[in-house]
Amino acid sequence: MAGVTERATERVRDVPAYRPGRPSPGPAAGKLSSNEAPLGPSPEVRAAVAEALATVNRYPEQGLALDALARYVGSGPEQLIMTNGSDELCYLVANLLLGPGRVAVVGEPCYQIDATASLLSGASLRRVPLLADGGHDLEAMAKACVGASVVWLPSPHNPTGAACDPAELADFMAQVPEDCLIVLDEAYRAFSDPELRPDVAGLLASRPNLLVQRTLSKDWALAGLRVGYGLGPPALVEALSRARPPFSVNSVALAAIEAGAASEQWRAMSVAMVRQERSRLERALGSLGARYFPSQANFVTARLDLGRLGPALAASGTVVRPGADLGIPGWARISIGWPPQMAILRATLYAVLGPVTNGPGQ
Amino acid sequence: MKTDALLLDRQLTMVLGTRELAPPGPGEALVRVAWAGVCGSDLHVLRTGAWVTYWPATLGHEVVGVVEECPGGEVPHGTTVVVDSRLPCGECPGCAAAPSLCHHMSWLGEARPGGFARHTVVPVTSLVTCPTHLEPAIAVLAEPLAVAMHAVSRLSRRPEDALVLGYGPIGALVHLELVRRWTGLAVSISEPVADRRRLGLALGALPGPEHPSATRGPGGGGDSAHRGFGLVVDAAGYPGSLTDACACAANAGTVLVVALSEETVPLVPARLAERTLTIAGSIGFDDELGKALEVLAAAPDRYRPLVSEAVLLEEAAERLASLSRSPSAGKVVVRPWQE
Repeated sequence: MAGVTERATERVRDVPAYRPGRPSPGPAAGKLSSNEAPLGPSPEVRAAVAEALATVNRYPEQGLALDALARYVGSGPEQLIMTNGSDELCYLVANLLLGPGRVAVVGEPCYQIDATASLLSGASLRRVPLLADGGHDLEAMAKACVGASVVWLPSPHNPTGAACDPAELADFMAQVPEDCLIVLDEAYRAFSDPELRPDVAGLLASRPNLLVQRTLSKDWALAGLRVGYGLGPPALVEALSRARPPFSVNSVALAAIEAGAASEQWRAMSVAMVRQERSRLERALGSLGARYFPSQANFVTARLDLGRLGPALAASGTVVRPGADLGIPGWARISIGWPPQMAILRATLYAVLGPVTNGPGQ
Repeated sequence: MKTDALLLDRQLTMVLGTRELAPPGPGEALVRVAWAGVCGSDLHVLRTGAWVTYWPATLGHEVVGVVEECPGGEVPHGTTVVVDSRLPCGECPGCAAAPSLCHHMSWLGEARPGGFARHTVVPVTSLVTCPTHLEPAIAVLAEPLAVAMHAVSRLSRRPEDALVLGYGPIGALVHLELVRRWTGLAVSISEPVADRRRLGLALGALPGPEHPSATRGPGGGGDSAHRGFGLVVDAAGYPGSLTDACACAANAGTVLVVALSEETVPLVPARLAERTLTIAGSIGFDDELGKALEVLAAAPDRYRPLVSEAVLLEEAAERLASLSRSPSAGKVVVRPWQE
């Protein structure tokens, strides 16, 4: 009879360990490895977080934050579930809808937590390779959804940054069987071009098998507080809420949500800065003839030899995410940081990969 | 020694080239430039060639860097420093009162090669040591913040509220300095560039009049019901901005002029007297540079959004040429050094 350790190990045999982005050896701004928000949250959110420390002896009350978030997303609170980071929603979905004998569909490479939550539930994965531009092969994914229980669909995708065309996304959803839950992960929605942001309210109204997943770790800059949320049919939201551990979103995070909902100008400024720097990085990569996936997210993934770049990056206090951690060896995912840090990064790229050419970026 | 530098010729063409730097003499230091901020006065020089006393010129007077040579040993090798941009003559009656009152003031970049270069040579008396934990790309804001602190120091008491005309970097820093000094002070802004207006609102400013000339307080036409602002800061410098600033001020209010406009503007002395207006001008700084570094070190994230764009020296000539018609949201900084 297997011991405890053997049984536990057997369960995670196919689950890769999560390797978080490494911190910078220098100033924190040099950490370009975890798609974090370089400017942090607004002054109002910082103040609310500090004030909330006075009540950490009490259990969290999420009513006001839920209402504030519902107003922000334009939904009813009954359509909304807040979670401890959007990753908790992955595990809740897997707990309720996956398990031994069930199938989950993912792109390949995929967002690692989608695969981890699925495998831990005992489900198997049906992997659909991405297209050459880093986008989902929606036609192949729709076919793969037949007989599956869940399809995980990040758009913009992580780790490529490619976003689905909204019309193609709607066509895809129409093809997915109604007994397969579509989890549309919009972690990076705020950084995408406006015309590439799907009409979520319209989709939710017409698709009973759609759950929209978002995080407050990116444009809201609350990665350390772990807050995410899901938008879906009220009955599904109710079921997910019953599976969620009590108080999974802590009181400090709830205070940040309330204040953050009113910090629209701060987010707009921060997102504009990221989009500006993303364009500048893509132009630099293009001028160097480096392949990259045109990104709609707060990172750019490029084919870069980190063995060659690594020492110079380290010397400049910059850390990026090796593609090997994300299922795409030979590539590197570069989070968009504060403009001075991005200038330092470009200087390193030019110094190691130059001379500058006018070669294509693709 | 030779150093890579942006070179501005008499035809006002700027290119990246090489310039010969005389080695630092007694009382001087060689500084490896980490960051150099782009000031509105740099753009004025690019457009007009004003104030430059040598050609080709290397502009850039908002400089943070590392001391590489200091023959006199006044500043240890490897010290991160901010450079005081002022070059007072040290001999005139104004200098006897305060360096900022020099009758013959000249500035780094305009009177001697400045910071848009990998190296610059400056007097050791111009060097202020950076706090060790302060990021250089934040410290580069020390010089313009010192200007803003000096301007705000002209105010003797808390105004009821404030309006900042023009939300370029100096306008933004004056805003932050006003609310640092007087917590909770309501500061409105009037700024036509959308990115700058968005930065101001993100930093807590209130939306002010879109057209100040049409939204005047008791001193002018337009919305005469508006009581006006207790303080109006003219950080815009467009033709007529001072007239608008006075008109937007409340009776007994103050108009603080920090913009360098050369336009003659109509002002009626009787109105100033009747309305008990105070007009104060401010340029440069006195002893605020070190204080500015302390303020930045105490709350770097508060100032981080102001550094809105960073370019390498190789990218700078092209960006500076377009900056007047395509301004950045906040401060543009140049990175001359390459590890």
